[in-house]
Amino acid sequence: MNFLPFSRLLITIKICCLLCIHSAFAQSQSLTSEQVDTDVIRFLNQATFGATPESFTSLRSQIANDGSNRLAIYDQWINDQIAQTPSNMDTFCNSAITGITSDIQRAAIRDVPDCYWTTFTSAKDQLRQRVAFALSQILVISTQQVAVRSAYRGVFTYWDTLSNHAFGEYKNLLYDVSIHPVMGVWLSHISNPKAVPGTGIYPDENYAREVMQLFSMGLVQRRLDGSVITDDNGNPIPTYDNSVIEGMARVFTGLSFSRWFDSNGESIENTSFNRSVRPPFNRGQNQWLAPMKIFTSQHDYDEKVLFTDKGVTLTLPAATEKTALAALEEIQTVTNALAAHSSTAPYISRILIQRLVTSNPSPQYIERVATQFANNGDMTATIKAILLDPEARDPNNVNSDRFGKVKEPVLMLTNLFRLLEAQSGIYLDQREFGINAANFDNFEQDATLLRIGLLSNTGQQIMGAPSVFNFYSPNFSPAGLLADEGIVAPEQQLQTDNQLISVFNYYHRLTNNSLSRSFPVNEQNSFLLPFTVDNHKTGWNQQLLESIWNSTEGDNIIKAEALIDFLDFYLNAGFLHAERATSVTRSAIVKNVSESTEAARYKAVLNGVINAPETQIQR
Amino acid sequence: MAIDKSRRSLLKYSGLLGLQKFVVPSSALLASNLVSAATDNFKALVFINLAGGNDSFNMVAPKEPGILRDNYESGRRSVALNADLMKPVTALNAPKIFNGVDYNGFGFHPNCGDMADMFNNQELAVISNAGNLVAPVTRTQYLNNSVALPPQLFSHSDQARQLQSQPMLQSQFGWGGKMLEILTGVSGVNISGSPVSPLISLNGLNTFQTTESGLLNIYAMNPGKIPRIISNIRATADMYTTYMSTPTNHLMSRNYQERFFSATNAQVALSTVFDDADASTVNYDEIFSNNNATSTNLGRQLQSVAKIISGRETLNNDRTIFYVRLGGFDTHKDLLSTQASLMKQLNGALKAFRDTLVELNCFDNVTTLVSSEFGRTFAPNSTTNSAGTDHAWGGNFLVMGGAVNGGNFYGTYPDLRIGEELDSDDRQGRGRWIPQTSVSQCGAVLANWFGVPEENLPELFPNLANFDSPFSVNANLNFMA
Repeated sequence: MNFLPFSRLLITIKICCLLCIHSAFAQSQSLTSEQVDTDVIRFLNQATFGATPESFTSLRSQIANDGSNRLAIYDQWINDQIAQTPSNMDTFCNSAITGITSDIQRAAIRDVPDCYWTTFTSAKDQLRQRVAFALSQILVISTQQVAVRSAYRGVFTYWDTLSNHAFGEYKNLLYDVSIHPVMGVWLSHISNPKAVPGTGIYPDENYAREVMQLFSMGLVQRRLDGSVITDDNGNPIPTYDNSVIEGMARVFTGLSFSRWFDSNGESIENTSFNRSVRPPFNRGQNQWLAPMKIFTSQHDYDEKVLFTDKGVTLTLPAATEKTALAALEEIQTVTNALAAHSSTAPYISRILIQRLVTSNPSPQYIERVATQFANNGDMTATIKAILLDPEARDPNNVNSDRFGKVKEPVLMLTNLFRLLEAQSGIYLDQREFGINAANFDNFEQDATLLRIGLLSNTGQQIMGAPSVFNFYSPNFSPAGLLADEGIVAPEQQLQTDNQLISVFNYYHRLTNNSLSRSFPVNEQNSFLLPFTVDNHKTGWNQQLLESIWNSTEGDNIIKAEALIDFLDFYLNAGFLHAERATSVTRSAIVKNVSESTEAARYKAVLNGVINAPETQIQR
Repeated sequence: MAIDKSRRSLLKYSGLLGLQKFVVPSSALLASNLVSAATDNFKALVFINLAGGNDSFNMVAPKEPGILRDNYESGRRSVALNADLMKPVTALNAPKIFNGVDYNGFGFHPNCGDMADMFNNQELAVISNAGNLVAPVTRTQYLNNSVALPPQLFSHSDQARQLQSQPMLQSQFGWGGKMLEILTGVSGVNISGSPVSPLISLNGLNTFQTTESGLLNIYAMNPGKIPRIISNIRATADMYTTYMSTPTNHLMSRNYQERFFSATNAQVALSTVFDDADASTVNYDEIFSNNNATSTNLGRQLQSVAKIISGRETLNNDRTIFYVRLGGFDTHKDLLSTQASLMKQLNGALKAFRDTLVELNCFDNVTTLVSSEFGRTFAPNSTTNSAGTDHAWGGNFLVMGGAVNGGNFYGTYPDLRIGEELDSDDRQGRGRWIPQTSVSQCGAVLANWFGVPEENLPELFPNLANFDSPFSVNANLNFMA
């Protein structure tokens, strides 16, 4: 392994940054070599599912020691990531599941999470997948709902919708999400009929509300910097009232499945507006693979008066021709207007910054990003603005008491999987014990299927939030210290007393080299040959740490420090190392590791670093 | 109540330093906590949040023929319940109904038979058409926007937060958390000195139990056993103790450290409580299983609540507030089928909880409030049997317990006339009922039972003065003995 970039850390002297004025940082400021190292790690932890020695070396080797060209290098890296062939979750997951088991019905639901873990850990289009993960926490659907869980291929294609638009335009993403059948099921605008005059029956308002409240403009009017606009009495001005909801509900009428299945499970045209949202999931799942279509008899073509932005009210005139195309154009007009609403750019930009970089971006940071988001939601410009912003790249923020974000369980785990080379015995490619997965060349060499499962006890199940409000609120502020300071920490909504212990225990399982979920013995029969229960076991590469211990010269304390510094460098951008003169955390881990038996040593260092208070923060 | 921040941080850090003695289970430590609490002084409030907006006008609805049943059927159409299947309840006093309608033929949802029995047995009461309100408001005032309204009506997140705190834009605290803060200053009530917070959530962090000062934190746990850190290596445990007890620079790291303490401090005592409960003569599993509540989400939460209550002497808190949550009520589609299973779950869990508390001899000490962020549109959104209902406003709450004046309807039940005085919806007339009773009034009655003096109630509910006194005849909220 390449050990050079990090060994340089050991001889550099910590630069005191206390005198640097936070806001005085400029892009042209000259960095120390140590600060460049730190910045590269921080960038990778913001833009991927975790920095690795390879990804670090590759980027660092292109950057001058004073950091002067780093933004150009990052920019090029982003361009390269955008140019990567996008992973396709649907084809990958289908091939992975059919590659290992004949029991497709059970596997479809049981094995789905493995595909996400594998993609996050080993796919080459890291930035795209990281952005898709962020979007999946904004445009939320959830497998907590049985109908969504049963529509497993719909969930994959929904993921692909997010990742395919990750560098496109938010307005197009919003349109595709709005007509995706799984969203139709989740927020119940599938088979939503128009009002029936005289019966007191009115359209479902569910999607109408959440597409505004959560997917675009938010509840209150905002300036470009995210601040709330108030009226003369100091009250926030709502972005809409209930009459707008009622109008929006009429927009999302007449949609239903465009495909259905015949008795052989073959895909056929759907001709019936009212369909069960829980058809048998073993009939090919064809109905989930195509966008919803319009049933003209059920769409409301009358005039609709919708939301007002900057004094202009969106009014949709009554349709002259009652065609499916006209109805879809109406929906597109609305989703375009939602993306262009003046409150959408700051609202969505802030949450994207929170998911990638920091929970508490300054108004100026939000404004710079929202400016790039602009009217159509230019996602490439938005993502670049988020990652390359002076606030994201300010080296002094490493020492801030509030910059950054808490790593939610999925990110903490994928950071570890990538760094510790987690793998099973089932390879994605064509070798022996390979499953010849679709697009296996989109993954890192030697990638394996990580048979890990839901890990639901971590409190965060990928694509399985408790509700459309995600796992945590963007405004969650723990009572006490953080609330007093006006600081939000969304991910800490998951860090309850009990949950914290559960997560601790998951890390102990990981360090015991057995993160795989347990397979009942009789399940082995449904695995395709030649795979065994052992092949399915997922563990980490302990040799990685052994080689550091063995190759470090000196006593056990020096060897322990080398182990800690390795983990700390990639997980914490070297924070513990930089604080080594005073860090109680580091010395406590050193003591434990240096005094451990060989059998306990590597578990001790992993548990020590992973659970450290400092490691919880993505700086 | 002014908060002395320096005092708070002092307490916190004395807590930090105190960690060491709690990390390793110590029987001596437990013994020191077994100061006998005065059991008869014990009170618990259980807040059950039916999340998503319970369609509670199908939980409690007109059953017998009459004008109210006629209005019910013409308004609810495809989502009206079959009267023959509903469970009859007879109120001791004639229910107060809007516009003076004379009617006493209500029923509970067909799957709520045990709840109906509890009502008829005077162990459970209905609070009609309650909801978030800043001040009383009529339909005309609502449509003219001439009275202050709760911000973001009909939005889940806002209305759920307001239900648990105040009808305001932002919440500093929930009324559950604040109640305990006030009680720390009331003599004769002991809620300190326990390693376990008196604010216990079975479903994550929530607004309801959030305190203003942050001095008391929410202990959030999953139902069932208390997890223990599985490291059995002493050196590793010592390492955690060392680095968790040294405040770090980053505020979020500090919060993580505090959660670690709270968890490790509580787990010893709570594990003991669960072990004691399982070893006791009370057969929790049998009681819950008799009510089909052993493996349901709500049943599992309430079984844990009951076990914690059984350990009230060990935990040494005179007051405990529990937060329990059941989701799935956002029935924009399939109201009838979805609600049927949810009501079945609610019924079984409440009955099992009640039976357990009776066996623990503390049914009189525990009051349970069943509420939801809003009711749903009286008019459905489809003519088919998969019809759902949308977000609305007022809804029916339930209170259960030995201290409840059960067998009665409190507040004012709507006359159920779409598009008329109580309907806030003028465009379509969907039956979004304007609440006639505020959450603040209901909360004030419960807080007062819990021990909060009347003069402190405005601290909990700053808008309380806008309404009839919750203790007045007009308010009709005399639901606590």
